Amino acid sequence: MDIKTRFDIQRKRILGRVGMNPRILWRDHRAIRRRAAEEHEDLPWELRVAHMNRALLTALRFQLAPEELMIGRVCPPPPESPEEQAECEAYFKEHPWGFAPGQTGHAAPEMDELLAVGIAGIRRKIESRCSGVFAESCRIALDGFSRMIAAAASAAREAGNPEIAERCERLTEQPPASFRDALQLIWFLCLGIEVGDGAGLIVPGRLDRRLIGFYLNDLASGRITREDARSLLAQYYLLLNDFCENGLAYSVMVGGDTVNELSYLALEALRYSRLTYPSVGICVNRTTPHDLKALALDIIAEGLPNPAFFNDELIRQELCRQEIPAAEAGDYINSACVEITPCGASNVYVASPYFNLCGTLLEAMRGSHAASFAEFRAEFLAALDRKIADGVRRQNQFRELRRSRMRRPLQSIFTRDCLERNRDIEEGGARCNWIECSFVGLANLVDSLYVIEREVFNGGLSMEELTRLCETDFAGHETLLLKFRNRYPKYGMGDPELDATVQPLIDHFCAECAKYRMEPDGSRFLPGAFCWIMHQRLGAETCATPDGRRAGFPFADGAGPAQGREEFGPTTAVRSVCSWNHSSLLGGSAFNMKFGKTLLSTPEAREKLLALIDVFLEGGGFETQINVADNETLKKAQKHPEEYADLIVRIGGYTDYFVKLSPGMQQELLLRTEYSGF
Amino acid sequence: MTGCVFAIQKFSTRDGPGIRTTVFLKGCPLRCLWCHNPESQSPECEIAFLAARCIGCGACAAACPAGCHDLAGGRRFDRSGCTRCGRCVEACCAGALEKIGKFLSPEEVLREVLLDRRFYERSGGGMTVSGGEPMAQFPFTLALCKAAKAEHLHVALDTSGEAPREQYEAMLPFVDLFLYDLKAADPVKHRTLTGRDNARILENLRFLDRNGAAVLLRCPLVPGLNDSEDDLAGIAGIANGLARPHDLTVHPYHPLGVEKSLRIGRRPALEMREFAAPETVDRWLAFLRSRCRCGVALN
Repeated sequence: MDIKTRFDIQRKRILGRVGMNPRILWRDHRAIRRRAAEEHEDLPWELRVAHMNRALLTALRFQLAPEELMIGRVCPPPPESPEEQAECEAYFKEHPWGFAPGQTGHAAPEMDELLAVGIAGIRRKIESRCSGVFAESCRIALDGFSRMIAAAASAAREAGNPEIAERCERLTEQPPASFRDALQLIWFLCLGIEVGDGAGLIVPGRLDRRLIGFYLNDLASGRITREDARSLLAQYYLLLNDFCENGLAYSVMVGGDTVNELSYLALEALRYSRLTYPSVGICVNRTTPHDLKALALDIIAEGLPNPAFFNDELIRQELCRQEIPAAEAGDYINSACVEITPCGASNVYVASPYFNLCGTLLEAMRGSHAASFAEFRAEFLAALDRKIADGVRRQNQFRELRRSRMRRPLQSIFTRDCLERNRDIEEGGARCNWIECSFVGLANLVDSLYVIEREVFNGGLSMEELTRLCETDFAGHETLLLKFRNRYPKYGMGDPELDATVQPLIDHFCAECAKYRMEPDGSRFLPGAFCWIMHQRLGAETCATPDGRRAGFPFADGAGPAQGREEFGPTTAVRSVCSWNHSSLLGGSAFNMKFGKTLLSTPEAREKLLALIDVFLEGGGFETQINVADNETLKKAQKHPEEYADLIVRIGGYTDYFVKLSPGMQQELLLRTEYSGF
Repeated sequence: MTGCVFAIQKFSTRDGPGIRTTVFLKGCPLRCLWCHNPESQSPECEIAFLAARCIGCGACAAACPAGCHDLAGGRRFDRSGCTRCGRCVEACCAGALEKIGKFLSPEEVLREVLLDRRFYERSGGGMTVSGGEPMAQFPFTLALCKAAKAEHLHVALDTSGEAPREQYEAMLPFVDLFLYDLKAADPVKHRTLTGRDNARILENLRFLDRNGAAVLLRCPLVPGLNDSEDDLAGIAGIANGLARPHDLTVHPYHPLGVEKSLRIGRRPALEMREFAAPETVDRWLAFLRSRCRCGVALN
């Protein structure tokens, strides 16, 4: 069977799925956990949780079809009747161990050691380093893990694939001996932690670093070709899309201080899998080869899942500042959009929490009797500081709940330094236990403060009047809304005075977050400015804002300008975004740009886009993603052309703004993908 | 010294190599039927009205000293009394009224252009001066290009060729690339389509060609107007007749200029509202490629 056919069949199956993905089904399944908990009620709760883990892992069953190059597709768990579900609910209410709130996973597990010594080697490590309840829980979980792989071996044998069966049998104990072995084991690892420990978004991470040794060996011995490796990576990607539902993020990252053939293959594989996951990010520094970046742009132009470009030098520097050793600072992963965590050593909670900057602004406006703008600004920051304090408190509560009720033994085995410290990840065994929060609506905040200073403190509007306008969505005062939106400079327009107001705000966020140390281990609370979908969600629940944003309208995404502000084009937007220092935002600082398809249609055009990205990164930008307005999104966008105000029309010798065109012409242009110049 | 500028467009990707900023000057001696920047033709400032943005608040009517704006019985903008004072533009918060044309010094323009210097450096880009016809404001354009060259920017000039030869001669040291329009070979047809014949235009082209200028030929092609095989053969003939091969780019007709005409209260000269069809464009490219010894590409 040729590769294209293999993948077409699998893609069809994945896209044609009816019902929920296995990830959700296994995450929400209770009966297996309950039975395991009941069977071991005499044991300490940590071991009961370990048995729940093991029971899940040993209950996993796999399917292997002839067109698949790896085994990894899991069957759904046995269905639960509503009565069973209710009984389990009741049981776990009374026996609350094994579940706790707060953000989980979002990490790339430690893999190098497993790939070197295999499960048997890991077991030996547990025996020599660990003791007590923790050691026992690790043994139990690791046993479950090994048995899971044995079940895969059986399934492969039944499916008539002795090669894969033999591979899995070996991997139950032995280290991988080939690229195929290693990739297979990485799949099992990520799957096992996600299902067994209930940790979401366990990601494959820096595949080019992890697998290069195996690849080169196999290449030298003739066991694998470049194309084989690419197909296997694509196969991995397909398994991911089968397992996970839409709307999440699973990340692979390539490049940075390690660029090798696999860096390219991980991107090329996207041409074969052609589905949502994973995102493949490129870590860019001065030495990044041009052709790797050009490949990423080709992938984007082909309409495939979007490589994002990360500022490797900035990120590594900041990780060192957070006391990650320089030798390890290059081995990080976005977890799983823009938030940065160190690979293999992370118990970092990301997006914990999201702060609604404009929501807080409005609260400050409601209660304000400030006599000057400086005073008001201080009131706003004080209100935000209270939110931050609350946020920290809540995260500490989650940590406490997790410490007292939750264990993730398999994730612990594969997170440095849990084994060395003889402590589960939920007890703080990981080397890195930061909490990363994220500030949503930065552009709207900046733009709104600018209007407030001039309208209220240097104009005739009172704070109460402005607040009422926002709360009533400017009803009856359309002209004021338009004035605030159109008559004031905005972040993204390259206005130096306005742009200069951003750095002091960022400095404040960073300084405030830096005051906190999480309990009990003193780990840090780090800021970010990315949104996932929260710019839409929080925007939907926030009234109008002084920058001229309507009630319910999304906030600006990440660290970029608000929608409709990019009239001056991407170079001006880049200048605004790079006017302040992003380096402290390890929680992620995202800048998304949107272009019509034809701006990516030739290698020449893509070179210009690459130059734009390079200037952005060299100018101190943290991360950028290019979104291509393809036909699918554009059809949806016909309902909200204001969300596409940043699209630019470029025709030789012609000038206009997309937003000025009549709705009919906008719509026509939106759907035009030939060489009309758009 | 100032020039009348109606746009400074950043991240221009189709006005020469690399990422560029295009400076659009107001005023043009030609009146091409298909003009996609109709607001560039008159050298005077104008007021544009964008109907889709009007919220009917009447601020413009209140502000206008000459009573040009009227909301009663449907929105009406009577330009006959308009002095372009711009008070209505000031008063409109919806962005429905715009003043087109601003007087700027070469230094002011260059300062704006230099903001994107890092992008030019990274991409091999620079500044393009376009319009309208930049040579219609020759002293300004010369000063601007001189100043840009002093800053080591790559300078492109987008021109119709309809200007005195001495002016092109003076520009030579300060222009790295001429983007030169070729609309029709036949002088009678040229006059019908653009308002002027092409004698001087062709002379200037040959002058630039002889004097070592880098030239990119730009051919705006309008279905049914200047795209017959004879027309295209004529264009190819001109290109082939030059001493050096200069690449040629095809600029298919698009209707985006029609709306801009309506915004400035004019009827478009050409009521053609469709984009040139892809098959038509393919045909043009194939024909020109078969005839031209230079490279032929789509812009």
